[in-house]
Amino acid sequence: MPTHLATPPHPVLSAVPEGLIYTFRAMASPCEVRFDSYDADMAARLGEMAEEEALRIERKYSRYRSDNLIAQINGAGGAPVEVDPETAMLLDYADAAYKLSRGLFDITSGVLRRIWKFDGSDRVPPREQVRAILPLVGWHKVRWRNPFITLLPGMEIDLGGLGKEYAVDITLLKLAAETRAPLLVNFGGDLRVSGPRAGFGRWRVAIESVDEEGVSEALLQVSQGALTTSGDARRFLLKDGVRYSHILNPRTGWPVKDAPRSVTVAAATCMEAGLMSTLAMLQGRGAEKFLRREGVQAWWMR
Amino acid sequence: MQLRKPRRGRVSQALGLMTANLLAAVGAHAQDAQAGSMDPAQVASVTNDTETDLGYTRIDAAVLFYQEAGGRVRATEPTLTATLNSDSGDVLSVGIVADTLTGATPNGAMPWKQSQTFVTPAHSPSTTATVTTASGGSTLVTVPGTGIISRQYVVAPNTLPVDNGFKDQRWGLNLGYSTLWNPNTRVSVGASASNERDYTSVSLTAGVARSFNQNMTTAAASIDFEYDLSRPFFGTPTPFTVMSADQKGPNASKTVASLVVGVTQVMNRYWLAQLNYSVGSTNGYQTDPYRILSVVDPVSGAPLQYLYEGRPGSRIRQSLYFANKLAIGPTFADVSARAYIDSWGIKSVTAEVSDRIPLTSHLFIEPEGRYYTQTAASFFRNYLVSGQPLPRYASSDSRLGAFSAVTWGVRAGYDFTPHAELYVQGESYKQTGVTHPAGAIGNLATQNLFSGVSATSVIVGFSFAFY
Amino acid sequence: MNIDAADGSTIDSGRVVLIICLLAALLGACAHPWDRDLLAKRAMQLNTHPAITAAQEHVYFSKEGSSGGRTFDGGGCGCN
Repeated sequence: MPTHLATPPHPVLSAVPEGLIYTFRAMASPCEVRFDSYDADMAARLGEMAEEEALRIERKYSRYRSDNLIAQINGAGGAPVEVDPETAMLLDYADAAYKLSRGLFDITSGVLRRIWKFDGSDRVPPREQVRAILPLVGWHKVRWRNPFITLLPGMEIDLGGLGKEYAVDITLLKLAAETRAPLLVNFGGDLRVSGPRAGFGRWRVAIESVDEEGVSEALLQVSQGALTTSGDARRFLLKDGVRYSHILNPRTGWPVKDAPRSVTVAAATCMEAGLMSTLAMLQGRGAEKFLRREGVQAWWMR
Repeated sequence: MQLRKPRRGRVSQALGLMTANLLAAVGAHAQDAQAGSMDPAQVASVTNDTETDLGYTRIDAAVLFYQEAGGRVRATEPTLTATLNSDSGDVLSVGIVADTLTGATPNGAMPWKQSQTFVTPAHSPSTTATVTTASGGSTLVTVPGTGIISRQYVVAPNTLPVDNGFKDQRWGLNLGYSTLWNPNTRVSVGASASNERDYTSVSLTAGVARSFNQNMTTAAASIDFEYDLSRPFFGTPTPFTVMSADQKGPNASKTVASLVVGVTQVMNRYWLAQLNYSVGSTNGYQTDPYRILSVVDPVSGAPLQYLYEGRPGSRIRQSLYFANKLAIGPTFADVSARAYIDSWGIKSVTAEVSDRIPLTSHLFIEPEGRYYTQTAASFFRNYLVSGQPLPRYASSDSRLGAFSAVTWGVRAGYDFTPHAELYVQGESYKQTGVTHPAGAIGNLATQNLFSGVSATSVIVGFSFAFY
Repeated sequence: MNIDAADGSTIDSGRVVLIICLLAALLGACAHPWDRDLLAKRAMQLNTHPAITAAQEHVYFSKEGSSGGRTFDGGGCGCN
């Protein structure tokens, strides 16, 4: 089962020998729900439910929109903004992850992308520019008193580092409550299964090559839990022979050195797997050591 | 016992907890926000191992109906167990059991071609009883000139002597607590007590289980200490004295100390194996105070008198138990074997097989079979022969003789939700032994001397967990 | 390109993962966390129905000369 998908222009329910697949686009990624069942009515209904949920989370948390809560928070100009309970819980989660990672996981680091454009070119920003933007980075500068969040003017939060994984988990839980058919939810390569396939078979998942689209590096068999991959697949800068990965250290404002090209982590939930793979990349040269120490099941490519 | 706390790092552990909390909480919030969301239980069942009841309280209620062939023992046994699981892995369980036993029990004497009359003290001696009354097929009689009330019952010719006067009620209470000492070590303690009209038992248990090798291996050890007090209705008879209506000696007790050590190993994805060694030492009164032996004429085999039986005061049991759980296609099989030996001379072998077959995603059926065979205890005697010296110990209890037993059964379960199951099991159990032992004296050669049981039982239960 | 697994083993492709697992399965040493799907099932526990097991053991204990093995010699009743 390839994780890379042909991107359909509109939602499609298709039958394959292993069951039914509902494909759609959300969060700028191809998304799919696989059903180990041939109940097309059920698959269509749940597929639509998945799409609705993915689009709901995208609408609510995308930083590319001007009409949502994130835009309101980021554009408040230093004024407090009241958030709903779901957002509050995600902010609490982000807060805990910030502390747990000693500042490496930081939802305010998105402003760094104003100066870092990872387009395969050699446009590495000058040091002064990086230094100038750093005052706008740092979760500890944010005043978060549930349900009010206050950013310094110019700061931004971006839940993109959590949103897709969160969407996968929530969608899977919703769908699994509706059917006993085994399911796989895959939003742009972040995936989670409801359990083994019928007859206790395993879901086959390919880890895509970082170098060539459509070429798989490994085939994994998953029967429980989630898999996510972090990597710099075709997103990097190359200058004077130095490869700058798109993983930025929010404490320095610079790309992490010697990070693995990609890290795939297995965990019970997509959010855990996603955070662990991101944190592993942020360790740079120490990624493998970190993964071993944390005792998580992982694969990486150098 | 299997431990399933993975050895994980600080970040990974904290993250797991954070995420589980978030998803459970958001599940609850999404419900107020919009229709069609899952309840927290659904989240937990997906986020946690399906095996663990982490955070759940489970209630398991069942009733056993047991009936032996030939109008012998009939029992009804309801049980109720509540297990409370904390989110951090503590487990507290409380169980109660009640038992109602009625029917006839072999008294230990051999059948004979003529009717036999047995005289025993009344269960409840009463100073006012001067009339005779019928009670459970027996008769209460005041022994002339003594004021002693005796109970007499007559057994028909050519039938196994049984005493119909047994009625008992038992209740029991079990308490257990276990906690994770560290992520890989679980310690547990327990206590239990049970009481019958003529018997009381209390016990204490402590155990430790440690998992290693990435939770693939669990080693466990536990000890148990039990104290039992036997309070026969008419006192404790002295072994090899003549059965009579007299009141007997004081209550008698015994202690049991046992140790079980075992290893549970995940062999692969489809195979879980367990190997246990257990040893137990019982000391004290282990005789059946109601059981007698026929002393027969050395030529005709006719019963001349009935003596109370006697058993050794010490018994050491050892067993080796090997259990396997195998996932075979869509089915789950249990295959186990046990070898047992004790200092009374009993050796036994047990083999048990069952296979759980899913019929639908909610319903399973599980046929099961068991074979058991044992040798006789060294002091097992069907009867004693008049004129021969008395042995040091003797009992005609069929449980101490040589026999084999076969069980056939089937179990079925229906799960209404992932956390609620109705189950039922029916079983037939039959012991077979030597009915006409070689060298039986005189007319005893024509009698069926084997007093083993055949029984059928049904158990119905309902188990459910809630958050 | 090699993909290194966190447990230190080096694997080349998913196909090899499978083969390694099959071999290791025979040696009893390969179950990833996500392989616990079967082992985690209630049906895969050694004692799926404690009430039934307890009732059976009580009957066998009171009708046979042997006892114990799975757990303690047990008893707590005057049925010897």
